[in-house]
Amino acid sequence: MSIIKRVYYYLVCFISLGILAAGIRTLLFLLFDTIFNTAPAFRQSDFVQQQLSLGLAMLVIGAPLWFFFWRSLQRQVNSQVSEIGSAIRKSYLNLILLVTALVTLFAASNLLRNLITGFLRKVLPPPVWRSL
Amino acid sequence: MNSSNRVLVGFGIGIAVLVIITIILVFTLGQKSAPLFSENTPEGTVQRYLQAIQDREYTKAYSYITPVPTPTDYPKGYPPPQSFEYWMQSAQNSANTNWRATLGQTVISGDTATVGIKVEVFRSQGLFNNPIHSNAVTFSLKKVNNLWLITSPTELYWIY
Repeated sequence: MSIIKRVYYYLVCFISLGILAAGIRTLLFLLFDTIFNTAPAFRQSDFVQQQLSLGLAMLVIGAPLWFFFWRSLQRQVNSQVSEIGSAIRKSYLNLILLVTALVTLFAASNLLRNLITGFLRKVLPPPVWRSL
Repeated sequence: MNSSNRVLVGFGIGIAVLVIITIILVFTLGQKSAPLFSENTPEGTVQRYLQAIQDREYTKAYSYITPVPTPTDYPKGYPPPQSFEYWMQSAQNSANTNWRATLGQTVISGDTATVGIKVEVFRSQGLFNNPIHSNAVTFSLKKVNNLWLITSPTELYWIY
């Protein structure tokens, strides 16, 4: 595979994976919000539907695009062993790992903050935890 | 089927399940709305004000705001800050924004009251940004002729 073609394939793979991940994130956010947000909306028109539309649109675009390009790259890797060690492939995989690690770090930080805040609110009287 | 394909199939099935569950839950549980509060309560006033803004009934929405004395030193050529025309500019700018409000705490103290609401604005900004922006807004109200009217905020900065 030529270098230009390889760069193009991995670039499209990266962008489409980003769209796919953003779609999954939007749907998961909506799912958890629907299940755990018990306060009824004071006023909402098509707020929820718009989130659902965005999430589905991202999935419909991102998933097939990523699947097609990733499968093509995997086929190349299976037929030519030298593809496995290419610098572009290594960069792509390392970039995915880096982005995943950073997103996980921030998500874990938010989760811990929410758990600690929730716990403090449960065990401490309101004037105390408001002053913290 | 090799392990790579099995992972892909599992991933695809997981996404399909997520989509189906989300659609079902959104159209069953996701449609809940707070009941309409009585008009002579602070919550009822704020609720009707927000409803009128979303329905683009600006004259009706403006009627829930207390008339505030207009300052005399505003620049010539501009509508006075508390006038309907001035308020309309901010209301019309917010017309295409998708948002929802959730009721928080209400505190009544004699002829004044505060109603806290959480406003969530949907604004898609790139792949890695959260499309939901949350604002906590506290409405101050005053009782005038047995009706609660909003004294602040009189502008709709919280929707943007």
